[in-house]
Amino acid sequence: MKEMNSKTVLIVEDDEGIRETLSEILMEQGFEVEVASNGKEALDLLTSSQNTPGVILLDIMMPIMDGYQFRELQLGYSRLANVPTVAISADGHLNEKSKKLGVAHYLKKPIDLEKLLDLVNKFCG
Amino acid sequence: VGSREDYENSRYSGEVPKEEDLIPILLVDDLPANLIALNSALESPAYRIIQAHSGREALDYLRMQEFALILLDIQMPIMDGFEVARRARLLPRAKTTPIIFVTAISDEEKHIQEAYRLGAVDFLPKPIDLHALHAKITVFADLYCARREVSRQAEILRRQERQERSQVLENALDAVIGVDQSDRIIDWNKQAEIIFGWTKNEAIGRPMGNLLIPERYREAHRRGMEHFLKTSEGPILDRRIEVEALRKDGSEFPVELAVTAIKTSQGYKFYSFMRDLTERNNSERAKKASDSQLRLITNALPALVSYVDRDHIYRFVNSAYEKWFLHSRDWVVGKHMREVVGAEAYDHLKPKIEAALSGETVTFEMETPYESGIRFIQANYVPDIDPTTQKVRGIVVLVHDITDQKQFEQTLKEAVRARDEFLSIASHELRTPLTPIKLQLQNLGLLIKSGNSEKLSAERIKKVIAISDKQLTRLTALIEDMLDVARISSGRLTLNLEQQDLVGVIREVCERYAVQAATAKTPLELEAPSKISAIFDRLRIEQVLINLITNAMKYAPGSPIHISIVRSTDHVRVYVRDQGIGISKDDLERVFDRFERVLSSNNVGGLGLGLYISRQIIESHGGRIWAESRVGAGSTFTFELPLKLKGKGAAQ
Repeated sequence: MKEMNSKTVLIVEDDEGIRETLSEILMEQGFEVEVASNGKEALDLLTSSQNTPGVILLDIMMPIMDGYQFRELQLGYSRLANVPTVAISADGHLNEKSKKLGVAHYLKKPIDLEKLLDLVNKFCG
Repeated sequence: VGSREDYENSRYSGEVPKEEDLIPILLVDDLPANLIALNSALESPAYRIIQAHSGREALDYLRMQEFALILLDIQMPIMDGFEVARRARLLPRAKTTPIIFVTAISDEEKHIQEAYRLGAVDFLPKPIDLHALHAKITVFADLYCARREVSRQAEILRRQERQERSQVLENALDAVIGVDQSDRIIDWNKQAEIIFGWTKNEAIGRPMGNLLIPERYREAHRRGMEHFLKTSEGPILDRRIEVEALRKDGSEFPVELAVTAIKTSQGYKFYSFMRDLTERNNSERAKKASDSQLRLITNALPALVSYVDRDHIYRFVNSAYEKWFLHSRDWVVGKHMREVVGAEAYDHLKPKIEAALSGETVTFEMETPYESGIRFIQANYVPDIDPTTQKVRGIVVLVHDITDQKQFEQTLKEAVRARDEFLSIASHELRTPLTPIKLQLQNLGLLIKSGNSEKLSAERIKKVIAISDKQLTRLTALIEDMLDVARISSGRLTLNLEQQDLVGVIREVCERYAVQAATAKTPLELEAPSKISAIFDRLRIEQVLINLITNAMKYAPGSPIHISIVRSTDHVRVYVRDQGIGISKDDLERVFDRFERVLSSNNVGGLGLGLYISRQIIESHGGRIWAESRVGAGSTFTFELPLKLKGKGAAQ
């Protein structure tokens, strides 16, 4: 397992198609990418790594551990609490959900690539 | 009866004076000379002098008429004056008539005593002193006149009283008919003329039974009268009864009748008082008709309709009350509300009733326990206000059973909620496959714009196409599911039925999904006989099986999925068993419903339509589908198809 650093984008997404597309495009754009298919996998990655990623792209609806549960645990770790996190969801009311999640940014599916790159560049550039 | 008497009667009868005001005086003496002398002495227009030549003749006169005074000679042959006086005292008309004896022997003490004992009032000695005679006669004449006047006045009074009484009867509102004891009509007033049609002249003297009583009752009437005259028992006397009576024109009509019997010196008289009930009965009929019309209308209403008075007592209820309270209308009407609706409900209703009785229109809904469970009712209390006094006389109560409506509203709300949830899930599920397509295409656009030909290899483009194709397949499947649901909802799910081998079809699906299953670490195990022929729609049954397999892959990753096919005499069963997390009992009942997902929507993707569609497909084949599960031990989904088609599938 590669060590994460501030150039790393952590993708937490249960849908394989989205996960792979995101990781491929971001790698093509020169970012380092780590992937997890649910909140639990992501938390395992984060807690087993020395450093924290530059940004976490977090899907909300996932099996095993969803975005809300992940955020709750993430905020419990002082080391992880301040890692920029971008919520991703296909649902409506994403604005409200983001507030509930305590995240400053969100992307609505289907994701617009330009917005995605702007945000990732902002945190990992 | 002697011939002499007849002769005397005829001789004197013609001479009886008619003038009522003359004062009749009877002179009795056997000597005509004395009579003539007395007669001429008393000559006066005020007197009517009758002369009798013997005691016997005198008594005849006294028998026939009343006299103011008798001048009676004592010494007469055959019958002396004393004897005449003695006999006169026995006659009704002469019992108290003053008698003056005329005698020559008045000095004899014993005569005087005897005379007074017989009621003599005076003596006139012979020869008669005319002056004394006049004086004495004047006294008695005046006395007679005074007495006659009194009795005349009394007679006038009696006649007036009789007249008044008969006037009262004449003008009574009831027909008043009097009959004697042989049933002859003796009295017939105006009202009797009006209601029976016979005039007084026509009616008087005729037998009442024949005139007024319908023939079929006449015999009973006759016997009743006979019985009364014999025994004085009259069960119909002095009571009000209703009978049929006969008019002059032969028509019958109802009368109210009271009969009273009066005993008189000439035997019994019966008085009947009768009132024509035709009008009253007509108005009662009219009221009944309007009541029944009201009942007819209110009975047709799908609501409880009643009228409750100020004392909370039911005065009118429609038939809906009978059905609701399972009591007859007659039982409910007149009962207090508390008794009908029960104490608990009444306590709840009481303030509403009171509000309505104070003039307010009250509308409310409430739950009420009923035999078949809780019912919802909507009640309207409308005050009945007297237009003149403005006082509330009662309330009109209108109660609707809105349970079905409430349930419908509830069902509708749930349907709307389910639809909204479905739309939200659908939009989520449709956006998910769109995301990679959009990202890949936008990325391709960026690459073209940057002119980075190195990264824009054929390999790269092929990959974009492959990813897009895969996601489009997902989208198509989702849309297909939604269309299936729409087809099922509108009854347009059609089956393409063919006789074919079910095992072969299932084996082929398992082979098709083998790689995917292996990737999900849920290897497919098939246990089946070599061949089972059945009639089914291949694509639809594949759809059901794929749905069950992919569900098992989703919910039970990491353990094998066991598929077995078992044939019995008339059906075949397909079991799909996983060893996953299982389904709770509550959820088991819901898994085949539309838009239901056992796990909350944030865990597993999908529209949640698969099992709903599967159930519709299997039921269309005339089969059934069900699930058994134990939490933590896995689930088994089973569908059963008939070997020969029947039911719904056969029709399609």
